[in-house]
Amino acid sequence: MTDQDAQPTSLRFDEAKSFSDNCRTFLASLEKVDADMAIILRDNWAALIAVVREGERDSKARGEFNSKVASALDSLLKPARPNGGA
Amino acid sequence: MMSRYFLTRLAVEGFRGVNNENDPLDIGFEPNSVNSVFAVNGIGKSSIFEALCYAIHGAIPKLQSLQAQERPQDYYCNRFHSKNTASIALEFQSDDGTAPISIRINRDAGGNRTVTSPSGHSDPEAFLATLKEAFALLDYRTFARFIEESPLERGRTFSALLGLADYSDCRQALQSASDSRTLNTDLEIKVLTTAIGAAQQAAQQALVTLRSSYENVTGKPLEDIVKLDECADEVTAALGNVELLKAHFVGKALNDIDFGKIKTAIKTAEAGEKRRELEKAVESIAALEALVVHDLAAVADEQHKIGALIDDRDRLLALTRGDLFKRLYESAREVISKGAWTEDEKCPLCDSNLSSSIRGHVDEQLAQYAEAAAKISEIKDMWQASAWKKCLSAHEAAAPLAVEPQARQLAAMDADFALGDISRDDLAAAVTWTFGLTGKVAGVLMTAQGRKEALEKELPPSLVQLTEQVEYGRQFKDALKLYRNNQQEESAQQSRLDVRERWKTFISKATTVFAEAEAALSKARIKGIDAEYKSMFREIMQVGDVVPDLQRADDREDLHVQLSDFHGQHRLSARALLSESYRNALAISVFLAAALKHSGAPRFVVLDDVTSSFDAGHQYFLMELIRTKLQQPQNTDGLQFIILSHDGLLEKYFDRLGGTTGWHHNKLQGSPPMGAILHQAQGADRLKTTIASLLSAGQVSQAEPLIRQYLEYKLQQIIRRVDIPVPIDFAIKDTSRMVSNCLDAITSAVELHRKAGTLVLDSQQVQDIDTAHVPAIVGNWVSHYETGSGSSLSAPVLSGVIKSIDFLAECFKYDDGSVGATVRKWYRSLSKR
Repeated sequence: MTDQDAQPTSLRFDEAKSFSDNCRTFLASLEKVDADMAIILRDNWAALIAVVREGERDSKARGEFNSKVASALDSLLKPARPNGGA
Repeated sequence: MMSRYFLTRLAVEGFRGVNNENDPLDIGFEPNSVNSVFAVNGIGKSSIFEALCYAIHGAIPKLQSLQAQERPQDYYCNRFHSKNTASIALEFQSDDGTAPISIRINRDAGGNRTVTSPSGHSDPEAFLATLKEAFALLDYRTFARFIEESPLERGRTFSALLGLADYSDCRQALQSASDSRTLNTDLEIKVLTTAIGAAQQAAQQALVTLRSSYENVTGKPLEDIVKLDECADEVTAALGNVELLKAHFVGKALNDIDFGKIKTAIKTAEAGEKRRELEKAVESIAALEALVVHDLAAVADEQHKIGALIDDRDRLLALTRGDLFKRLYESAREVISKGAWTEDEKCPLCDSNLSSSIRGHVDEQLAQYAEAAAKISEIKDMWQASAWKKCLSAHEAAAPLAVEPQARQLAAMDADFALGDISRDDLAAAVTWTFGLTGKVAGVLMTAQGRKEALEKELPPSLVQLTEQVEYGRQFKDALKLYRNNQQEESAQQSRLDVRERWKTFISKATTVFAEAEAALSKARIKGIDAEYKSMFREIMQVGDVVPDLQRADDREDLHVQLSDFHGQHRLSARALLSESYRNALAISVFLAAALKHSGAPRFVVLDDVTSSFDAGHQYFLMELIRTKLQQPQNTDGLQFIILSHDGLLEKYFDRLGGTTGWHHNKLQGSPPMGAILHQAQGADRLKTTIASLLSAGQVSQAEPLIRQYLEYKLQQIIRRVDIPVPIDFAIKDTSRMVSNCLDAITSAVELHRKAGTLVLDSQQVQDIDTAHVPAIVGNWVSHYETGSGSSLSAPVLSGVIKSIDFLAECFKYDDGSVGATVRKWYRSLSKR
């Protein structure tokens, strides 16, 4: 599930691709680092993007992003239900 | 390829310095021309730039920087607009033939923004969002900051310029999200660490209690905390061995044992029947065993002796004649002893003679009574001192023998012995009673001892000690629960901490990955504009031995501006060496080079006062660069430029090119923020029509600012058209006196040319200027309104002023019939047609 010591393949953004497409590539590359964490980052990507808008940092948005991450991390620790539910 | 758009029209009403109520400031821009807009300070040029900022970005940086208590929201709408509402209308023309787009942005008095599209665009706000490119709206501040700001800030600004704003924002967001300090706070790392420490400490405290309570219950030390389950079983077993507690422990795990209930049971047992029964048994035994001390043989001997004494008494009493004779004998003794009877051998009662001494007889008789009494006393004394009495007393009082008080005989016997009249039968009954009691003792004792033994088996040896044991058991149970709970808590919090640390490592790595990719992309873009901006810089500054160079850092967003060549020296700081104009020229070169490379929706660049630090020469070179190489369609990949300026020198350049192919010039005039702002293209005729309408309606005060505006416009038109020189301080003089300043400049120039004999005006024109039009304007406007004295003039007088200014302008024109039909033209100058 995790190999934090592993280095992802050196990522290069494709100039021909949109920002969104390059972000998808970026997130996919992180699965090699830690698949669980990469999913959390992907699920909360919109909240992360809201942290800096037009060069302006929004500390409240950062707090909200980290709060969502913390919740997701806690959920990760909860054992899966026997019926296969989360 | 997406459509790109030119800005073709801007109409503003009620926004910032533009009042223009019901008469919007309406400026057209041409896609194929450089568009210049000139206005002296305070005429609303900045309001135009701010209107575009608000339309596209939804805010004005200048107002955004205000403190909240300054209520920036109150300064978007023009404060003199009666409705306190603003409207901004924009029109865009695509560069690929798709339909033009018109957008209308309204802001109401409450600060609410609404965006609509008269042309029918489905999502006008989204369209405006596509225009949010860093190069579309550029002002002096942006350029000045580019060089002056830190390499990091510059790098971020530049990212936006390169179309990499999203990447820069995302990189910063990742950096923000991976910042250790804030992350530690947001993820409550310290809270978790503290919780883990607290759980560990609590577990250790519980362990101390576990050790002591275990040892107290089992009598041996707790050595292996890994085997706490076994220890718990041992505690349960140890306590379960106690008879009283068996029912509470047998077959139960420690966790299931209700120590509270046990303690209640112990309390019940302590104060309960069995306990009391045992106590009673013990007491009974003690009491019965205490009876053993009585010597029953001695008692029997005493009883025998008392019996003999009773017999003696009875024999002696039998020798007497009862109490009556006793009293007779006693009386006789008294009679005799007191000398009342002296005849000792004669009966005092019958006087008969006696054969013996009466005294002897009386004494003998009384001696018998005395002997009998002595026996009675002896019996009494013997009873009182007897072991029998004590024995009987003890036995009758012994609770275990349960002798009812009414059945007890001791008191009655005491009385009998005291009176001395106890009979043989009485004695026999007493003996029987006594031995009846003593005979019960052994049996009762045996029973009590049996019960005691049974109770002792049933009851714990020491309830106090047991209570302590149970308490230790409870302590062990609670400590075990506490220990395990805290171990679980520690484990849970440690897991949360671990997964958060895992996230920290991950997000940090993710940030690095993104940053490296972003840096590589940025470097590629910089490389793409390298030749372009260097060439532009060279053309603007006309230098070849000062070569700037942008260097993007590998691991940061820092963008360093260096001079790769500075008069033969290399790699020097541009910030340290370049003057302000050079720095701004470099910034403009970089921005414009980047803008040309851009392929975003806006295909226009609005430059607001970007040449303020330039001298005339560098302004010229920049304008020429824009006009000849950057403006489309001269440059097929070029942009539409809209240049806003308040620079008087640059205005000369605009004026000269205005109306030529490839240049479209607008000049703003007016009296903001209360009056209207107009530009010449909007036509003085419209202004004059409005004035006439207001004056005919008697609305003099509303017409006055427009009249002033019209006068200034017409007078400056004369000055510009016939090239009348103005004093160097003309533009910076009190603008409230602009009409008289213009008149002074015009009349002085006319006078100068007349004296020099070079005046091209005909004599009638000169006479009309001197004697009619200028005096009329001075008399009916300048002397009244520029001094601020008096009330408003009448509408007819002000209508006359409008006519006078029109007539005055006509004095600087002539009829040109040289090319066919006669055309009314401005003189080229005061000395030339």
